[in-house]
Amino acid sequence: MSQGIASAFSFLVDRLQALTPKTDPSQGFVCVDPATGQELLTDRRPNTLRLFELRVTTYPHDDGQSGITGRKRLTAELRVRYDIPRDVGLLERIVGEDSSQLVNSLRDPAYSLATTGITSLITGEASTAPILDEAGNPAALLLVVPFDLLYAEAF
Amino acid sequence: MAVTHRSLSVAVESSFGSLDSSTGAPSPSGLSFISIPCERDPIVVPGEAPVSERTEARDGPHGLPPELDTTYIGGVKQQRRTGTVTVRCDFTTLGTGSNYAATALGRLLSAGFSTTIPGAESDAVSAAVSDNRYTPTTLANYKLGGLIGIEINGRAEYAHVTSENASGTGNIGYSPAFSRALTGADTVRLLQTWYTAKGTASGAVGNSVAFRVDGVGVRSYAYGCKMESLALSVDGGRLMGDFTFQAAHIEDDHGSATGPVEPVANDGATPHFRSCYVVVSDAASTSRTDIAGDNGDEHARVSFDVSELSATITNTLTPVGQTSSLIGMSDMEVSDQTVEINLTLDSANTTISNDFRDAVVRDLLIGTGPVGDGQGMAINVPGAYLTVDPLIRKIDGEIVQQSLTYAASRFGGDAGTGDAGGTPLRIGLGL
Repeated sequence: MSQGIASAFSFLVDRLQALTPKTDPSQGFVCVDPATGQELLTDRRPNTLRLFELRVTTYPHDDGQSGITGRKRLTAELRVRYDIPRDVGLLERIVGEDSSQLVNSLRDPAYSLATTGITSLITGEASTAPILDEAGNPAALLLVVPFDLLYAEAF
Repeated sequence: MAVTHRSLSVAVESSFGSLDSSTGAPSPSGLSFISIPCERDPIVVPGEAPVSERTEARDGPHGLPPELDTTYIGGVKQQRRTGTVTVRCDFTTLGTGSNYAATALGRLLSAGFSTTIPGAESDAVSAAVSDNRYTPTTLANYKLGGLIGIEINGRAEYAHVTSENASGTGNIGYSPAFSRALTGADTVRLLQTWYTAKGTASGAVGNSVAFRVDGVGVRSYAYGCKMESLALSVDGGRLMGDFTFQAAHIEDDHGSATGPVEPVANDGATPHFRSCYVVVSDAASTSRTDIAGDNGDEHARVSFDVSELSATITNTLTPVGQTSSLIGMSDMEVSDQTVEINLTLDSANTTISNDFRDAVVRDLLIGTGPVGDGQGMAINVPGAYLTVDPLIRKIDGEIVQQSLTYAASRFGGDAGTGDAGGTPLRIGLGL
């Protein structure tokens, strides 16, 4: 796979999946949407922690590098799903720990530029949002880590 | 109407100003340009015409065209501008390749610094010796004063070689220490190192460069360019460099325009101010005198918690006058240099509390991540002194901070003067 968004996302997914969470390490980060027709993160998946996906929120635009086909910039989100447990306090702490670890992983500058094309990655402020069931009750929590990706797309 | 896609290319000049021997005017003939992977916005057609205003007597309220500082060649009056060329780019490292000579980044740096290239891109540690020494596998590949790096616990760490014959037994001595002593299982990366020449070599740089601006229907050349300043900053974690070059001669050749040229990017890694350290030596550097014997400075390290980094390196360029060419000078010498490094510490460091009062000179080493094959970048001021009192705390923000400003003093802590030995400023890039 040549430099570009596909190899960049694959690289980031592999790195995230290799993380060992601090609390409940047996349930690692698992990507549910590696662009191969898998189910959606919002589908019902009871008793699971740390299923995640990378989603593009703003498609690539020119990043002001000289020449014509220079560097591109897109915005994306890392979304991680947490089921709602009885102990909400524990959930909040797990999400807090995970958020820190995920940001560290995303910001690790060893981006394998030659194969991924990633020049830099800038994380934004993490937030959470509930996933509601049919009755309108919270069924799961989504941790959302937005980021800007600066990369080259080889053709 | 044409779009403003544009590019900036750089070439190494074999002689200052690339003068054509048959005309005495600059010529692009023989120059090999490479397109710089730089930011687009700062690329403009540079320069202003040097003129002499005519203030002659006149018979009414009118002006007179100024006289351009130029000459005639073959009966044709020559176009001429002078001015600055600015380049903003990151420091994406080499990746594959043996050194930076054929890269845009290497050419830019070599127009403001001298450089030394290690004999190999890495060397395996043959045997452990101490916290600041090890036995190399191939001693001849090292450069005195050259930067070395290694990844320890996922972080990039750097030091500089202070002795190639430590203990008198051919060991490498380095400073400041890494976070642990090196062992026989380690492999050290050897960095190509740009440095500010000193002593009888003062003012020496690798080469002058020429620039070419290419756009749609636009082509301009700048000849006889040397680096006037380099400002380092951090943008989203990425280390950026704003280069400013003084050009001895600028002219246009829009009739030969062929459009923008796609930049040639290195494929190493883009240095980030992440997964790395900013360290100073735990004791004063040898500064005003040269260290005696086989051993150089070998200090432990004190790590800073740095949230903000910026640095400015300013070369004073002095034209060497000459009337025998259109450009009016035979060179621009780097006659002086100032270094200013600004660090903001979110946790105030107390080891250095009295450094300003006591005029303590320390070894400052600023790392970036990652380091590896074709990767790594570090900045070293081996004789760094504070120009502000470190006891001042910034208390007008959300947290108490310490603002440090360092400048470069003399460094005499290298056991020898070869290569980059004893030089006051070094910038290393991974091979």
